[in-house]
Amino acid sequence: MLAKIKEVLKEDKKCERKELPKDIKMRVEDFDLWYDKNQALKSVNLDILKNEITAIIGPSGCGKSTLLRSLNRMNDTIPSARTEGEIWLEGYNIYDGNTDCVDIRRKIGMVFQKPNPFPFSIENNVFYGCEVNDMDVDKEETVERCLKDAALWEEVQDRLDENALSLSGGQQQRLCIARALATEPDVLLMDEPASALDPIATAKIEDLIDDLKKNYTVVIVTHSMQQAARVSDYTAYMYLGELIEFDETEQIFENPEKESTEKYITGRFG
Amino acid sequence: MSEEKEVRKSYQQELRELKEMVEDMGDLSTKAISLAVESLVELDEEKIEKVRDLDDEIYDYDKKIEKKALNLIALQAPVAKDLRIIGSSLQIITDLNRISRYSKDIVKVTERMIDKGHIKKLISIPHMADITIDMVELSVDSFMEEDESYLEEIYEKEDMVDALYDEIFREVLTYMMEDGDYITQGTQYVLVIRYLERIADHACNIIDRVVYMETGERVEMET
Ligand SMILES: Nc1ncnc2c1ncn2[C@@H]1O[C@H](COP(=O)(O)OP(=O)(O)OP(=O)(O)O)[C@@H](O)[C@H]1O
Ligand SMILES: [Mg+2]
Repeated sequence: MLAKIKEVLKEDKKCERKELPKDIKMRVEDFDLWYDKNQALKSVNLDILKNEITAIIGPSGCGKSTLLRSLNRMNDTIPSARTEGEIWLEGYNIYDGNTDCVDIRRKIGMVFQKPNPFPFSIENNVFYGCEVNDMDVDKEETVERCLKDAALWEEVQDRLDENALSLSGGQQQRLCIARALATEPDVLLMDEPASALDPIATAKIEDLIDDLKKNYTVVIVTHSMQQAARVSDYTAYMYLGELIEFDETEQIFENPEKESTEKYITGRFG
Repeated sequence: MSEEKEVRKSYQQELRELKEMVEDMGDLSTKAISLAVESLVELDEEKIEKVRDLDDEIYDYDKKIEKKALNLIALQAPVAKDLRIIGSSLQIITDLNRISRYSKDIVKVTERMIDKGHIKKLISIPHMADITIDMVELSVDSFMEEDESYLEEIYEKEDMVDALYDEIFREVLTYMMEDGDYITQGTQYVLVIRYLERIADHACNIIDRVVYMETGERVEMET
């Protein structure tokens, strides 16, 4: 009986489908976004590769955060925002207007610019999502695993019950990464995760990002070209809402195709 | 002879009435869910009151149905399928009662949300509610029609409800992580989707009971 039901469920629910090449996790296709009349993304096309780190760079206001947030439909809370085009996640269009397309289980975690842990203990920060969701998982085990994955375990293992706000900025940011990992995402989006941190804390975050790609697909927005060059496998350069160039990071930094890209990365910009 | 026929007829009549009362109680229950979710989406205080009134009505039905069912069992000593129908009625009204309690829980959320406002226009929650309401309606229909073939459709919807739960939960959690100020509202949304998910579970209980009523066999289903 159950087998039969499962069979029925597999059938198409009239959702738009698209076969993506195996190594592509997400595909942005002819994607536009407006805030009222101001167009912030202009026909963006971009492939996010599985288990690779993609950096989005470009000058302030060019639409990096807007694009990153679009990957998780975070523009839904902004009443003035309107989109056109598609963003595919494993064969499903996350902007499909058909509400029956619930097969799109967007397993996406986010880390924001400002480290913003909840005002709870360290362990409760990590476990919060599981707790609210009544998830049947072992708390100690989950907390330890996520803190280890976020390279924070060594520093906090003896003070898990302390308030997260007592941590340093860099530690708080790694805690936010641990918190995002606890919900078992397969894509991790980070918007300038190190911009509020000192160089040592930044280096730690960068090392961590490199480790994360084993298990996750990572997209990181950064205003630091050095950072993009250090951590990413692929780089997308944006300017005034357009995606100007996208390629392997090495290619972008050694031999960019477009003049605008070259100007930006050599700092002869503006 | 003719007297016995009279008795049989009124017994069938009574049984039909019993089922119709369950159907009415089902209608009130789905109406309560629908109003409760509307109260939340629109932050409408009048609808909160309506849901509470409905809950009182539902409670009265529960008592009336229980009394009638127990009378039927005592006076008619029903057997086989008739007995299963009466037994199922008693169990189904327990499910409907629970469902109604969740509607009341949802309006409690509305009350807490009224001066907070929503963080965005609610789309997925009402969609999840629509599917849940369908499930309850279908399960009660299956009881009325004595037709267990709705089982697959209901379980298919149950799977959609679970998927929506997961999706909405992740979405809400992301907003809470971005801005701690959303924790209060976010926690309330998670409560609502949990209530809806439980309502969907009760619809599954109902159809499972109808399967038993029709076939005499229990559904073995891992959910
Ligand atoms: N919520 C909003 N409402 C209206 N306009 C917005 C909103 N968010 C961003 N914009 C505008 O959209 C454009 C792109 O902004 P976005 O924040 O995506 O840029 P960015 O590349 O991330 O910049 P920065 O490097 O400064 O973070 C800008 O012109 C910005 O003013
Ligand atoms: Mg930005």
